[in-house]
Amino acid sequence: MEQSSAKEGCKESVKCIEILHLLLDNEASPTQEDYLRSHLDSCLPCLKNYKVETEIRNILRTKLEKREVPADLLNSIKSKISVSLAPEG
Amino acid sequence: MGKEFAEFIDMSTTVTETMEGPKRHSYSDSKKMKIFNGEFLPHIDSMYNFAYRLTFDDDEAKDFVQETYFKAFRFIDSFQEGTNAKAWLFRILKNSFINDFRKKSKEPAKVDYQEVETYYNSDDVDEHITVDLRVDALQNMIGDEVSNALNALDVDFRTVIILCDLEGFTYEEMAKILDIPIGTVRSRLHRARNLLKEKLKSYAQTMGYK
Repeated sequence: MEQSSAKEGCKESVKCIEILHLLLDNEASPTQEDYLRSHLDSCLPCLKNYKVETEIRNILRTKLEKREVPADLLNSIKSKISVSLAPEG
Repeated sequence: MGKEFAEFIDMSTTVTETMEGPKRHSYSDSKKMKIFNGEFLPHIDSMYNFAYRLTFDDDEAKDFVQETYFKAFRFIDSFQEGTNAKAWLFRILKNSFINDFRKKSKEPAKVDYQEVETYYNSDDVDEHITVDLRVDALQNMIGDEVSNALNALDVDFRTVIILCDLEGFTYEEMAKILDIPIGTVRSRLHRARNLLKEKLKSYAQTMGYK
């Protein structure tokens, strides 16, 4: 239905992108995975998308700075919890 | 009472089961401490980073994490030992964040997940946005640029990217954490990824990539 008048050359790009996301999120069914893997062998635009989407996930995981948990946070949580359990007295 | 209590559903159950309300346990104090220390506290790092990425503020993030742990302890009897503590804790934190934001906000609807959902999903769920991005442009980005692109997204879109890509939750876990159907998780993620890609694209352009 969707004639890919868009510059991307894959006529099934909508379907392919949907499956691509599922695949990269480990949510694709075996059938979907088989379809996309063999499709990628012959479709350059989708292969390019695959690489870009993979890289976006990669930079999110590797380039975002991790915040250090403030040193006192763990202890303050622990001590308040044990106070709440301690018998009154 | 029902409303607050419903927040602490047992994450081991399916979505339909949770409609019936959480199962209750009666853990001894030492058991509670064992669960708390062994299953809850190890997630403090992820929790803190999640809270920080929602608030962009260390003090607020700290408050949310503390509040989440206190609530988790208070309602520990609705947690099934050995199940998905991380998802359970994230759900509590997310709910605290939303409640707090609604309280503070002059325009509550602005941060209403459901509202945003309806708006963005109105008629273009399957809209295919082609954003031309190059792998080498992405590889050359620095952390700040990636971070700015992510932070520029509305909170609900930011949230699904964080849960999926940074924390590795499955769609089903995300559905429980966010109280939305899996189909909505999928479409919201799809939308979020397109928006993120547009942001990354504009950074790539300012770096001179085309």
